[in-house]
Amino acid sequence: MILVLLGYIASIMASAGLAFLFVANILRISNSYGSEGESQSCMKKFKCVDVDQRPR
Amino acid sequence: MAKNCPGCGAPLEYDPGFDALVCGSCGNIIDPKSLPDANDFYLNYDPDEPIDLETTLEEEELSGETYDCHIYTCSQCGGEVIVSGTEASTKCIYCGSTAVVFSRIAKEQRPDYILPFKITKEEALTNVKRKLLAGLFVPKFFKKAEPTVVRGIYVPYFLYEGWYKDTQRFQVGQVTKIYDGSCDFVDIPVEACQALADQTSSQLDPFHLNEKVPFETSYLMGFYSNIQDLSLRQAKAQVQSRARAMFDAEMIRSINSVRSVNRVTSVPTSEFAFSSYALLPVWFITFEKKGTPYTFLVNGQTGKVVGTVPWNRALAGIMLGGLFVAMAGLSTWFFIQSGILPAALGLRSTVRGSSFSKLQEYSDTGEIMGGIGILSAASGLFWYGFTQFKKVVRNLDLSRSVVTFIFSKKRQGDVK
Repeated sequence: MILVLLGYIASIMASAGLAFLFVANILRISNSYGSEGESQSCMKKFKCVDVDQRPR
Repeated sequence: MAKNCPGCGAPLEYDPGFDALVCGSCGNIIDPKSLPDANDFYLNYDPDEPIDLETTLEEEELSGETYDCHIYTCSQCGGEVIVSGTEASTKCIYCGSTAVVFSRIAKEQRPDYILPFKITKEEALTNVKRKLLAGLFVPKFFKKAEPTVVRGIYVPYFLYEGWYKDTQRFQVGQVTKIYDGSCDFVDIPVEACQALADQTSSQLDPFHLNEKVPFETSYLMGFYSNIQDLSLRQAKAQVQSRARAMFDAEMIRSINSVRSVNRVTSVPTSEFAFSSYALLPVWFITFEKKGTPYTFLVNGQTGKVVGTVPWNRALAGIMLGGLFVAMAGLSTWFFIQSGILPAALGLRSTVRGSSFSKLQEYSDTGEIMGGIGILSAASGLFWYGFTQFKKVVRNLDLSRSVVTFIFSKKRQGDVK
């Protein structure tokens, strides 16, 4: 059964991918500190208007 | 420009814990505003005394445009730092070298504002150590080591204000929508010292600039400051870039759609003007391992830690291998227990459960296509996980000690 064998191989590859993903996220949280700052406090009177819904 | 205790005459240092000048000798606590620079001149000035260099520099200070300071230069990396009061610089805060010599007394541009340190040295150290202790892949050395250099440094920033407008076309799901956006910006900080990498200084944000106070040299006592060496033209380019990034992020956030949102076109207009020059507080904490410095920065107002630690490769490899073996083992166990795999390999004639009979129904219809589809999806997941891992490892290696590395490279003439 080719389908079964391909499915089995796929599950092994998916396991490896998930392992890499999990360790990468832990590594990033564990060893790298500081993210891009939230400087939105310097933004004042922000407005965003949908042009189609603007009153004519 | 040392400030002395009016009680015992010993040098004063600014203490963030008290938000005041503290005498290390008699414990006297003095409000920095009660010892402004102008008072020094009027209390000590004698018109009959011959004018010497110190007095001349104090006169410059009164103009409000410049102030005198001591510059220390590192003969290893060329880094320069301003030292205030009576503290001498004995170790370079950039590369950790002890080859630091007093260079000159200089007149530096007098800042308009200063954000005093709120986080004490002990609190900054505690924040860094807490991060190191909690890190799973942090080598044991860093969890036990004591820092070799801890310095509070005022980093020069230019503050800008202005406005930004943009008409942006978005693809929201299958629909194209146009949005008009506008906002005002007040006190956008742009770091004005090329010693710090832009990436590092932006990660120190946010600073709560509503707490800034008019500049007094009293706040510098016990701390260093960086020299401002960025031109206003370079700073303005950075302001526009930062404003654009913040505005674009806010536009996407305000659209607030569950469907995918992609920006198609953008027609921005903006105008920014320099508003003031301020010094913002940062703690530099350096650990040294086998001669290589690893510097962490701590926001001197909020305590936010910025930096990268080398990772324990052996432990990461063990975890990676362990997870893979566990998950692959689990799926293998499932395939064997259900009998699907043994039956497919011809090792067993009967199969527990109905799953295999259902699979046999599909076996003649698109079996290969289905198998290839499943394998492709799994390959995609594998490739995504692997590239994310490689990206994180590459970023860790690149950003490790980037502050000192880039600074040292630049000062040694190897500018890229």
